[in-house]
Amino acid sequence: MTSEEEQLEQVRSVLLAPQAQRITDLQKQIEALDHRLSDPAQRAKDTGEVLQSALAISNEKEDWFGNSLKPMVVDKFQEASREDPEIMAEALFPILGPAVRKMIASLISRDKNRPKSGYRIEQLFLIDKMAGLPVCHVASEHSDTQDADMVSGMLSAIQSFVHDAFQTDEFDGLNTLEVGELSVWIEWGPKAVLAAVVRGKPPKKLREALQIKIEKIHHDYEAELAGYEGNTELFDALKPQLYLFLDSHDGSLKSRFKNLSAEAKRYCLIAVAGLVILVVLLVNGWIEDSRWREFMGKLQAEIGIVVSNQTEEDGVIHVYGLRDPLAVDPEAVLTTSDTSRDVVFHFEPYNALQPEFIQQRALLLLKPTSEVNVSLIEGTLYVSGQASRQWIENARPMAAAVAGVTAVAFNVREMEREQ
Amino acid sequence: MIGMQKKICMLGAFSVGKTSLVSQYVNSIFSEKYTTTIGVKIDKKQITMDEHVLSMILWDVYGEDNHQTVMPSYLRGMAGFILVADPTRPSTLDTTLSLRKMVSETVGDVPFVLALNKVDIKDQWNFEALETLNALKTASAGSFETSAKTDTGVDDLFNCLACAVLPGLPAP
Repeated sequence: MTSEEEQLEQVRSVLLAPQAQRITDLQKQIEALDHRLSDPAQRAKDTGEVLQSALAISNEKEDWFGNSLKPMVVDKFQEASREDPEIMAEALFPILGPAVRKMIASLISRDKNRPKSGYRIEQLFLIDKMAGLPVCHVASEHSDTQDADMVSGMLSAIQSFVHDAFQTDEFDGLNTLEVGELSVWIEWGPKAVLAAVVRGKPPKKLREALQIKIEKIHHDYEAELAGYEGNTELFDALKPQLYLFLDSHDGSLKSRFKNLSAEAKRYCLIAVAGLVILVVLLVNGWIEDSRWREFMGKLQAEIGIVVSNQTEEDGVIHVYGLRDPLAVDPEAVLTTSDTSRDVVFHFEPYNALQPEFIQQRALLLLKPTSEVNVSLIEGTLYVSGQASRQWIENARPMAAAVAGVTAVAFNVREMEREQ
Repeated sequence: MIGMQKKICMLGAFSVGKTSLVSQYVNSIFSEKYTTTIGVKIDKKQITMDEHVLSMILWDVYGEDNHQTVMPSYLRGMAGFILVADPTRPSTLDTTLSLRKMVSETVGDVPFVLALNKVDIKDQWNFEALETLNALKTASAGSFETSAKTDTGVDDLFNCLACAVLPGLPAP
């Protein structure tokens, strides 16, 4: 290269340097884009980032995106349903469950009256298995029912739906529907099903009773069920039996009594009357006991009375103990009390040692005149004042003999000597 | 009077007007949502014919253009059925033909009546397969041009089927 060419190259590189750098950058960007497009994972990631925005724009402009996807989605949905119904059933289950429950609730009753206890069969449906027609229907007085024909049809449809959707066997069909406190117990027979709408919590024995009933119905009405073509009058005779079944499985207390036989009702009434009498007696006895305890408390609180024992014989209470002759009369205490018991008192006499009794006893014994003072202080009997010689001679020895007196301070002057 | 009850199915392609026909004929107690929930809605119409009091238990079976989605167990025990077609959509006639075949295979030959619905917009009717139509008409107990919107032919449709399912009654 000549020096002139070198100079030109230098001038060119100086003049075109920004463009050359721009071209280099663009080449790098093209390579990066090429890499993104050739990498499937990267392309999926890129598409995902713009898909949401694309759907939003599509919704604003007549939903071209959704419309173009719809046939493909519907086709694949139908194809999947045919190929594997179980997957579809599993997918639909969370949606169908609540929907069917709501439907059953509206079907079987609008009655919100709860049984006060136990359970109650509100309706019984005997449904022709083939057509879902109601062969016979009875409802309790508590039940506010929808049209039985249509309810039977819907129950039958639900059974068919479950049967088909979940591929159950012929005799392994739907046997329980539960909606809150209402449930439908269904028992299957070869020609008909018996469905009981139950409010409350029925015992397991109801299931067995329903099984026995549907078997008996098939036994008794075999020909009618086999040739059933919609003539319900053929089953008119069955209604009383179903009503009986309905009543006999009312678990509330009132209905339990109602359903008893006459003899059982008689025994029940006797038992209840006996119970009432017993309660009255017990209450009366408790009241009388209280009154007696109150009387005995008063009696024992009296000074000079000591109760040692009490016994009852032929309805008479005998009270044993000791009684100071100066103490209150027990009969008087009895008269003022509320007790109505017959009482006989057996009190032996004794000398009470309470100071007031000792002093009173001394006064009774000594018979002091108004000029003689008698008092008792800590067991010592103080006798003072003035009296006749005769009284003093009599009183002095007696004072020491008064029961309860431990010492005597006798200081009585003789009146006659002073005169 | 003899009390009788019969199961009647309403069959037809999607949106041909089955539910509207039933609604025109009876007072429903159940919401239409049941049809889409479990695929069927039950209604009842009681009519008196001669010495019979007939309770028609109407099973309004959810219809789709692909008739295979109709559950065969819903058809069991039916005494008759009403095939409903919408002549403004010719394809619905093909569906009625397929449904009739399906019924024959599932429950055997039972009487049916054909309802060519939406007669209120008859100017939009567009039947191409007249042979199919004639074959269905011939096999049916009666065919009626109906409209739930204007209450045209609805009573006649159901009464005709009632006569067909009750033994010993002459067709009206």
